Amino acid sequence: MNWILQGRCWKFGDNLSLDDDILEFAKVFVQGVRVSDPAQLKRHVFTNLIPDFPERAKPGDIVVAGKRFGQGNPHIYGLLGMRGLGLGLVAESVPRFTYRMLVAAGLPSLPFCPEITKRVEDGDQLRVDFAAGRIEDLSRGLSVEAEPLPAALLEIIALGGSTQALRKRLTEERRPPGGEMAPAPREPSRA
Amino acid sequence: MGMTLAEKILARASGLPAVRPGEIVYPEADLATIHDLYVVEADRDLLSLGVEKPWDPARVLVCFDHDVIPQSVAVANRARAIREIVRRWGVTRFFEAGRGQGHVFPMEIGLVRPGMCVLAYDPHVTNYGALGCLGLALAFEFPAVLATGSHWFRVPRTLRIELGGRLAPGVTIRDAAAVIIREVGPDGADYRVFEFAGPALDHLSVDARVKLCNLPVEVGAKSAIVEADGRVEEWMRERGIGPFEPAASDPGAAFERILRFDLSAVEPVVALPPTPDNVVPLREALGLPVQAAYVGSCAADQYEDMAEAAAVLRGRRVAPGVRMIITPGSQEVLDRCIRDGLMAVFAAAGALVGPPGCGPCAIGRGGPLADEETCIATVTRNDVGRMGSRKARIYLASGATVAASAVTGRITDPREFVG
Repeated sequence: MNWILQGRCWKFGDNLSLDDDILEFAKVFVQGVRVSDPAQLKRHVFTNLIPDFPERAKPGDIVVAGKRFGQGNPHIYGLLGMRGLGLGLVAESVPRFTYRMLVAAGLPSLPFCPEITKRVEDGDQLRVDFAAGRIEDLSRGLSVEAEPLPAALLEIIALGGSTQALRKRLTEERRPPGGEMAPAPREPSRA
Repeated sequence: MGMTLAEKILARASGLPAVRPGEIVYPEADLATIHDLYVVEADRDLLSLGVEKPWDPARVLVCFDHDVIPQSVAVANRARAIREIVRRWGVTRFFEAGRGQGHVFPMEIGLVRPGMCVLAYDPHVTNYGALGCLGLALAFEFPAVLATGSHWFRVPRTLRIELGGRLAPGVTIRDAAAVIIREVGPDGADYRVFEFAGPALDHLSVDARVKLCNLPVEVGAKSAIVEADGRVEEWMRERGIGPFEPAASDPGAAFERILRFDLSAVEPVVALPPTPDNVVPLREALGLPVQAAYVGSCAADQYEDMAEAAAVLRGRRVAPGVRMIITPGSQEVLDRCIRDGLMAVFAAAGALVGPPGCGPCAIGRGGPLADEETCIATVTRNDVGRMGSRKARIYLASGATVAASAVTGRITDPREFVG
């Protein structure tokens, strides 16, 4: 997997909610059933904040957000939609449940990058290496380091998220609970 | 060194002698719970993985609490599909629409007991903590539990909250729970288990403990739990359910922090839109006109919540221009409301009583808010759109405050009527 994305910075503030700011929850339902296909969900990403966001965002673009990105009821659909658009995420912080869902959604992320919203501006050209934890602002000529996700979680993202990782787990030898059935993720460093 | 109650349950369910915070474990579910809004999607994911049945159908609980009365043919068709899936899965613990809210009725019939580890789709499974059971939610990753019985968890740290004192008349445990989540806040709560303890437990019923265990998840807690003491034993005996086994933290367990709260200092509060921890003294919102009032959801649909609302509504009418909806949490709660005359109080007051289930807290189902409306409700969350229109505003409060506000048509202190 190519861990480097390059594209436009879409900068947002603190406390973006899963169920309204990132993707309005009511839009997840088609004929009363939830859609979890990133290709379908991508049409609704951030549209309550920027109505034409899905048309303007290009694969490789980077969402830069403030503190507690993805707060609220733990619905994954906005994160799946972001993956559908081919975006990456750099946030100052995320709630722990959202951290888990970024991995489950297969979204390249640097979820704990303090003060990043003070360093880069909306519209800047960014190049982000999600495996190395490096954000370069090509428009400003600056570089910021952030703790990357642990290798075991990057592996789940590389597979495409939790459903694909479960597929792999089921096709491998079934081991009893308490055993090593999947890569063991670690607590993110928040230094 | 001893373990906290949550650590003990995780260790036992993971087949390990001990666990420590930060460790990754695979607890096997004693019970795995899923509701109607997610069954079709879960089955679709499982079939794509070649899985036709859950790992242990006898340990899966499916309940119909969100779309209790289908409002369209599409939803009715989905309900039909769910019943077919449940039959194919071989699930025996399937509970039809109207049976009750899935975070309430399983406790009343003994499916949830002290010391159990319950893995769930839905985050409000933390209600079960009131019986000393650890409820952990997985949301989108829940198919892993259905397929294998387990999934990875990082052992959370435990925050112990010791409660002392007694609530003043007209002040409710919901007010106290709201104050606690405001004080701990998202940064203090993130991925912690809240363990409630202290001398006040002696007079806090199981219904009250459910209120304490429901709210922390709104600020990011992983779960919430109360030790299973004599009150829990008595509650289970009254219902003829068991077996009861005490469950509590070890002496010398390592808590991340111990916070103390004096219940006697709590005043009625309200959470302003748009987040549940935006909690302010009720006096700051007094007089605000409301068009809708709702008592229910898994945060407030047990008998004591119904009684709290009825104490205010008795002999009074819901104000013109206000519609009030009440949903009891289960058939047991509904039955007791009928026997004790609470239903007569609600009917005389002009309140609309909906079927047991999640009520309008499930994105407005069975009574959505319109644009520009203001609602006062006991629901779990007040995000934009939580009860219908994105242009409506939701104020969260206790059942007593909701009922008092319904009577006057403005946000009102219930101590004007009771206490």
